[in-house]
Parts: sequence; C-alpha cells; structure tokens
Amino acid sequence: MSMKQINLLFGCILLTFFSFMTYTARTTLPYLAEGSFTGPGSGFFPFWVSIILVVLTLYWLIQIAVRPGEEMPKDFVPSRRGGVMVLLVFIDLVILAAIMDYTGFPLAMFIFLMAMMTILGERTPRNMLYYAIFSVGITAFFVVVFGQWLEVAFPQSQISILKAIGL
Amino acid sequence: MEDILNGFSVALSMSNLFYCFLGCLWGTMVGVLPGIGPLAGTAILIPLTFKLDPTGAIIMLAAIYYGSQYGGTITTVLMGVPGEASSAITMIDGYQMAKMGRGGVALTGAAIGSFIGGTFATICLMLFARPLVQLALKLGPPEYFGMMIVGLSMATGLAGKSMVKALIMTVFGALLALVGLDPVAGTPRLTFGSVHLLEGVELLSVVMGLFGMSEVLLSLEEKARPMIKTTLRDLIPTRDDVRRSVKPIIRGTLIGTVLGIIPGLIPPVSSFLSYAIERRSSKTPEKFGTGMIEAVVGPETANNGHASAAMIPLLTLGIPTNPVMAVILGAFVINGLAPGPLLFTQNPNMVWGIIASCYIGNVMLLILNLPLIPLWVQILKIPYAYLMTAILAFMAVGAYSDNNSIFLIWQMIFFGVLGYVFKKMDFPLAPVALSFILAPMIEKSLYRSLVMSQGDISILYSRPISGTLLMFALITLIYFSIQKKVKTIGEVQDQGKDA
Repeated sequence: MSMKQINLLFGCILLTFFSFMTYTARTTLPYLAEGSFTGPGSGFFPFWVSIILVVLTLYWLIQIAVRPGEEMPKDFVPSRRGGVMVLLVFIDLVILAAIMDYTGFPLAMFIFLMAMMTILGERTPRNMLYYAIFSVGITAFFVVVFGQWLEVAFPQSQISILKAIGL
Repeated sequence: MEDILNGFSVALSMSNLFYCFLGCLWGTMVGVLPGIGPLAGTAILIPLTFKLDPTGAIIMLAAIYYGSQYGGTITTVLMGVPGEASSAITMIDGYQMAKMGRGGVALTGAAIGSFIGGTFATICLMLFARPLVQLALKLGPPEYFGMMIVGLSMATGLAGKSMVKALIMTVFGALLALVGLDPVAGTPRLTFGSVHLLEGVELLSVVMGLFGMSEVLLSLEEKARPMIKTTLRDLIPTRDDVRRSVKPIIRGTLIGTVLGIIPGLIPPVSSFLSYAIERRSSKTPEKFGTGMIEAVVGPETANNGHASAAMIPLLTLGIPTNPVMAVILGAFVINGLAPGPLLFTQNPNMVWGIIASCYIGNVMLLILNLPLIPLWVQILKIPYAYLMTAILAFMAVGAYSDNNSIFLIWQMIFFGVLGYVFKKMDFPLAPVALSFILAPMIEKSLYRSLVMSQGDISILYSRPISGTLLMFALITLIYFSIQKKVKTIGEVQDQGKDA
C-alpha cells in the first residue's frame, strides 16, 4: 500500500465519521433556541463544527488525490518487534480496564504492572522477582496515596476470597 | 507593592513552598524523561490537586510547567533526544558540546539563562498584572470571543506542516468539547444515549491519551540512544563562555517574554526564533551546529521566559495561551475558580501568591538543576521497563481518579490509540488540546454576545477591538497558509532536483 492510498483511506474514514456527526447534530438536536430568545440552539454548534470538518476533510482528500504521491516516512511502519510491543501494551491496558470491576483495583493493577514489565523488560527469573516486588510496591502506593489519602473510590473485587481480605 | 508582599507571604508558607518544590521536582523529571511532555506531566498530577487547597494546587502545576522547560535540556544535551519539544533546537549544538566534553557547560549556561528568562517574565507579570486586569474588566463577550479566536488561529497556523491538517485538528478539538450537556439549555449533545458521556469528554483522559499514552506507544518503536558521561567538574563555564552568553540571554529573555503573552504560541516557537536570531547575529554562523554555546543558552532562556510569561494572559484575562496553560485552567475550574480579572479582586492573596511562587520556583530550579545534574542523569539510567510501566500506570489511575470511573480509562485508551494514529499520519495534536478547552468558552462568549445584540451576529465584527482581533485572526490564517504552501512547493521542487 502506498502512502497516497493510506492517506486516502484515512481521509475517507474521517469523512464518514464527520458526516455521521453532521447528520446526528442536524437530526437529533434543535438548531435554534426555543423560547423568547431566537439564538443558537443545542444543535447549532455541533452542526456547524461537523460541517466545517466535512469540508476540511474533503479539501484534504482532494489535495491528496491531485498531488503526486509522497514517500512513506521511514518510521511509519514499526519494526516487527516494535509493532508487537505496541500491540501487547495496548492489550494490557484493555485488560486492566476490562477486569478492574471484577477483580478489584489492587489485583488488576498488579496484573497490569507485571504484564507490562514482562513485555518491556528482560524475562530472567531474577528480573521477574524484581518486577513482582515493583508491582506490589506501586500498587500499594496507589492504594495508600490515591485510595486512602485522596479518597479515590477504587473498585472492590467481586471474587469472594479477595473481597474477604478487603481487596 | 502591598499585593506583591502579600503574595510572597502566601508563597513562602511552608505548605506552598513544599508544593512549589514538588512541582519543580516533578517538572524537571518530566522534562528529563523523553516520552512524557509537560502537558501529560501536568495532567498526571491534577488528581492530587483535588485534596490540596487551590493556591497550593495551582502553584504546583505552574511549577511543573516551567520546571519541565529546565529538565528537558538535560536529556537533550546528554542523549541527543529532546526531553520535550522546546529543547529540540538546543539539541543541535548542545549534543555536539556534550560530545566535545562540554555537556556540563551547556547545561550550566542553559540553567542560568532559564533562571534569568523565567525571573524576568515573572517580574513582568507582577508589573503588568494590574493594568491588564483594568483593561480586561472593560472588555465584553465579543472581545473575549475575538481574543480566543486569535489564540486558536495562531495555534493552528504554527502547528504541523499542513494547514488543512492543523485546521482539522483544531475543529476536531472543538467537536470533542461539544459532547455532553449543552451549557445553556442543559440538553444532551452527541452523547448517543451514553450516561457516561453526559458529563462530556474528560480533559484528563484526552490529554493523557493524546499526549501521554500515544508518546509511550511511539517510544516503544524506537531504540534507546547511549548517554554521554559528564562529571561535576565539567559544569563550570570559562570566561569566554560567559562573555558569549550574555547577549543571547538578554535576547532570549525578551523573545520569550513577549511571545509568551501572545495567545496560541507555544514555547518551542520562542526557542526556534531565538536560535534563528542568534545565528543571524553571529559573526560565525557557519559554526552553528558544531557546539556553539550561544545556540544553547539563547533558546533555553527564551523557552523558560515564554513558560513564565504565559501565566500573564491566563491570570489576568483567563485565556490560556497554549495547551499546558489550558490544563492549568482546567485545574482552576476543577477547584471551583475562574482565572481572569475577577480573581484579582475576589482572591488577591491567592493570585499574588501564585505569581510570587513563580519567582521562588525559578530560584528552586536553579538550585535543583546546577548541583543536581548528575542525580537527574541517574534517573535516565532507570530501566525502561520500570519507567514506562510506572508512567502508564500513573496515567490510568489519574484518568480513573478524575471521576472514579473505569469509563475514563477506556476514554484514555481510545484517545491514546487515536493520538498514535494521528501522529503516524502527521496530524498535529497541540491544537486539539487548546481548542478542546477554548471551545466551550468561545461558545459561551458567542452566546452572550448574541444575547447582548438580540441575535445580531454583526456585534462580533462591528465593535473596534473584536473586529480588529477577528481580522487579525483571519490574516494570521491566510499568512500561515501561504507560508506553508510556499514551503511545500519548495520541498517538492527540491525532491524533483534530487530525483
């Protein structure tokens, strides 16, 4: 795939999204205010902002189509190792958000930290021990500073054993 | 004078000194660590401010911002990797100086220059705050509307290589800000039936995702660079270094202070302009790029002067001039305060305390930066796995703490991926943050203007100040469009010649 094709594809995705937003703003929100004052309604700004985005994206698409294709930047496609790392870190974050409500904050954070360091660092038995100590330390820091001092209400575990020990 | 003395008494209280120190320390670390810029670095600590008193909270956040300008130099000079964007231009000669064994001298020059630049801008803030507040009280909604449009047009014009991409990002930031309850009618907008979106897209999630998580993801693709060793002995500049640094520091101070006040300009603009001026005024411009101290102290002074001067429009007019100031404005709002002229009459001790703390913070940073450079260098030796993991965990917890909701972690992940894709596609991200903060303010100003004129839109351009501001914004956009077009044509022609 050339850079021109990638740009066109990305432009089309943006155009579809912004067109959808325009349609939503126009059909679901009042354009003018109701009552004594005839000014902009809830839909006025969303509609015009979306329309401007549609016009700008169309203009960009035309620019890409008319201009000769540019070279793909060297770092555009990550190395195999880099790409896998990005994907794994993304999955790790998704898992953190997905399990936190069920496992509770401390366990979810511990799993996230361990997994992250295992992905990014060297996987020797000695390092794994350090990672575990670090993960417990950081999790405890969050529980004490954010959970107790800042009174952030972290989710409690739904698992009965963990619930029993206050996690 | 009484205000200033009161301000110092507030800033010198033990708790505020501690918050200022904490901000300087974290700010320097944010600057030192590549991959986490001042924007995400400031946003990470916003949850901590929920518990602090508003004065201490803002003192800490401001200190993070100007502290990061200092810290960025260390990584830039010793590793050849910009700790943050303002230091990118310093890298050219700073890294060369480090290779020649003069890295310590470069860092000392930059720290002293930054101190002078930051202190001068703070003095200007003290001197001009009152007159600006008097002026601000005379301005109405159409003038505020004009000023914010100028800020957005400058931020758009200076962002990235393509004008249309920068404009898309600016308007996209505004679209994100429109999600949630309509501030006037109170009806849900673009929420698609989601209860979570009724409160809108959260600032912390946007900033941490777009600027923090996306940077971490991109940094995973890069290979680490080796660091150049320096010793404490190398830190002392020669008499010749001092002589050559005086004029660049003076010029950098003036550039940073003046540009810092202008809405839409970010510190890298000041440092790049300072570099260009130093090169032009040098008798040996051909030596730039080989390790010239003028090319290090000038830009570093300018970016720190800029960072401190950016507080002037925020505190006096309530208008953030760049994305970090927008985050600090967000912190004001979270704490139930609105920066602007009324803050000076309603909370004079607080506002003068914040101003005085900028001066104290600059002194602290000078102390933190000069003798502690070897310590900061040690931080860069912390294994990557620990560093990046801790940063991402902080971001996730920070996003969650904003509203005690896992949905905000999902938001952060979404914006992180979005930021990663946008950066790959060469879309500038800075305008998103600024317009995200300014859009609701613009909407309110426009609404109030229309109420004033009973629906007549001409109020925006028929009043002299707002009309001039809107005209200036239009000229700015046209100027930058032409400039970028000419640059693109030049690059295409160069490529043609090479081929």
